[in-house]
Amino acid sequence: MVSPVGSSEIHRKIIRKIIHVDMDAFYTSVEQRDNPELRGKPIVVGGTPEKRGAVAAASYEARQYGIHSAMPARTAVQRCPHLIFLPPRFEAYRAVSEQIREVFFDYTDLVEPLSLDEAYLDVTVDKKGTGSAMLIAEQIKQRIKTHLQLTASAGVSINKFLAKIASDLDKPDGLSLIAPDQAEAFIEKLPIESFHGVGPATAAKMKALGITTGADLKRWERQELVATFGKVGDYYYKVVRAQDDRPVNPNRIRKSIGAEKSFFEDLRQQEEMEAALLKIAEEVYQRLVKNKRSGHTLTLKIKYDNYSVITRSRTLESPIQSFADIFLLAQSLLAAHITPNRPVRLLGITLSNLTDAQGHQQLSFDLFSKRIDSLAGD
Amino acid sequence: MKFSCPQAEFNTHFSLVSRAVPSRPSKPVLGNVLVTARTDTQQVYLIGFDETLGIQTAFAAQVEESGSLTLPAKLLGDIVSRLPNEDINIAEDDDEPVVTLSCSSGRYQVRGLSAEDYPQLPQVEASEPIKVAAEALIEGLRGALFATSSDETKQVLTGVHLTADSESLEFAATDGHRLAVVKTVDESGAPASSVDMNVTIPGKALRELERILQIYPSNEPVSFQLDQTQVVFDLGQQRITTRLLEGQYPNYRQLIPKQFERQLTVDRKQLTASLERIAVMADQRNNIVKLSIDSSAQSLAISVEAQEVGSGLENLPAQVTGENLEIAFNVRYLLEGLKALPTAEIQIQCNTATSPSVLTPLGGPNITYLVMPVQIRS
Repeated sequence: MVSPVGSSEIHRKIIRKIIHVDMDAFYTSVEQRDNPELRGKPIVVGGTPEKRGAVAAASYEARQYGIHSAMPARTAVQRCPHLIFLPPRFEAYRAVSEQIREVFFDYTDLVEPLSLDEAYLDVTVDKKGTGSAMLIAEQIKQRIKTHLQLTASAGVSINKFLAKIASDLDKPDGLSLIAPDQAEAFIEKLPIESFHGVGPATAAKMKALGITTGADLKRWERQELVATFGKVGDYYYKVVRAQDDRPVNPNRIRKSIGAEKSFFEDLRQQEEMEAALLKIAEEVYQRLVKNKRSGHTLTLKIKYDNYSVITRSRTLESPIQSFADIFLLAQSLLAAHITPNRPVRLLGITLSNLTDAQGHQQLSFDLFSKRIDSLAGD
Repeated sequence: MKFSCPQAEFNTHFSLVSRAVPSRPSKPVLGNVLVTARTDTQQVYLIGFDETLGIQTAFAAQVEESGSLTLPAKLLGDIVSRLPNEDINIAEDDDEPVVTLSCSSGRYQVRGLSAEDYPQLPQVEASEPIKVAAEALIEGLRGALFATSSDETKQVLTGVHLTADSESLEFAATDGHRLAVVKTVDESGAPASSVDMNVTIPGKALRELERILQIYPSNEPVSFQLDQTQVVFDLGQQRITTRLLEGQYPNYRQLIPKQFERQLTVDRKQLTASLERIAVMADQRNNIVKLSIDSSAQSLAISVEAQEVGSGLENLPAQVTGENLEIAFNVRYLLEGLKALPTAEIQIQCNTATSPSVLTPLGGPNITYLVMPVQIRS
């Protein structure tokens, strides 16, 4: 049975005031702001169909055609033949993102950016002494609109989980509050796919188990959730009870470094895949060196021709930091998990569990250099 | 089954085979030791096996009834080790797989499992045994075993590679950062081996072999037999069986440089003592020590910079040829290597700060210890 925690638990501690700010169709809105000719038109930022690219961001006009991010550009153009493709201008987006953060910092230093267009703010204590999180969120939205000619949606609540859900309730240009006393009732009605952290695969699994809403999820005991979903089951158990003590962490550092590559033509031979992994491993290695980091977990991502994706990881005690470490691990994961005779569309390598690489590096013998050389020569 | 023997005898042999008993057995019977008593030989035989490594031993006892049963390794071992050193009696029940262990202080009943469920140890196809002087084996293991890798993903590197021809036996181990090679020649003139051999033996089995060799009469050669997948070491009363490691062992000989630009000779004890002191400081950070080879001063300076902790410097005389050089190492690698070099003086040879250095004993056994430096980035 469910233990009688929940709302009483919330009231025991200081109630935090958390805002989640999410820019509306950020990349495309910046493009439309900077180029009036694009306004009111379906546009996407990302790769073109000729280059087998994918949609990175779609304007609201494009979304009306069912176009969304991560969609292959080829599919997008089928849905909307007059779709305008724009190459991403990350420097421009980053500059705007900086300006937005300056606005946040007027209210609090506890700002945790999730990406260029999203951030959490903890305004339990705000610099201006405003006191009301709703008022702060309203002011922030207003300032972004006036000074940057962009719209944002904001969610206000008592923790990150709820604030993020709230920001999504009334997009675009929305502002929503989930108050402490409504929180649990609200979550109970929430469809399971709206839970942050429940992806399509987990949602399907949950539905098969009869979990379609927060109320269904709440009937599960902690041990059952952990047994069924692994460690993340613990998170589900808590958030469905409106508990989320994750602090807003202004120093959040990147948790993974990776690279992936999709291919002009699907790869069929394992040798071709290994040759591709070699290039991807090189890129990951360069990024690792640039960021002065090393990782303990390596994840290989394989996307097959039907867009089904598998990821397989391995965690080592010693840091993964040399090019050979990265490549050999990825290669062994590929050999162990690839489905034979299935064309592969994309491969990716990600390193996580990152630690600071020392400024010094223990050098290694080239024990397997012959093998690597022979692959590179292919 | 019924026998009696001194507690110390049983305890020694039981703990010896228990080292092959897995802590998490794949089936319950493997968590036990197979105990067999025979009236005809007046011996007790013990076997522990983890499906890769098997250890067998035998010792004299007063056997009244022959029989065979498997008994829990951890439980029985923990009890027997605490008994006073006097004769203990072990008797099997008539109708149940239970033994009664009795001595002057008390009695215990311990439940076992039928011997019939215990797997057969893998047999080696009949082949001519190879005989090696115990001293040569001890020398080879002491000089190489420490350099094996503990990284289970690099399977073949977790073992020691053995090659033999009619004159010598060569042991090699590397973890990718250092390499130890020991070449032993049987001085008795007897051929070390009548067949060529080229195998990689798991480090775990060899550590057990090294342990048993410490109590082995050194004038008796050790014989072993092998086939494509298994090796059996026969040490009279003890036998070690292990699966061989699969996969091509790296061609390590090509790693050893043929020529060196710099060379120094130092007193091993002095160098070890200096490094041990420096290591106290180096352990605080990253184990990195810097060696400054000074040919005009004919000295070797060892220094450590442990950020926010402190620094240290040691200076010792050395016979130096070649130009000055600063080169950094993991101090653990140096100390472990020095421990394996048994002579009063040792030689260090190197080329550059980023290429392997070689440590060898001066006028001693044929040991080559190759170690990769740490690259210092400013």
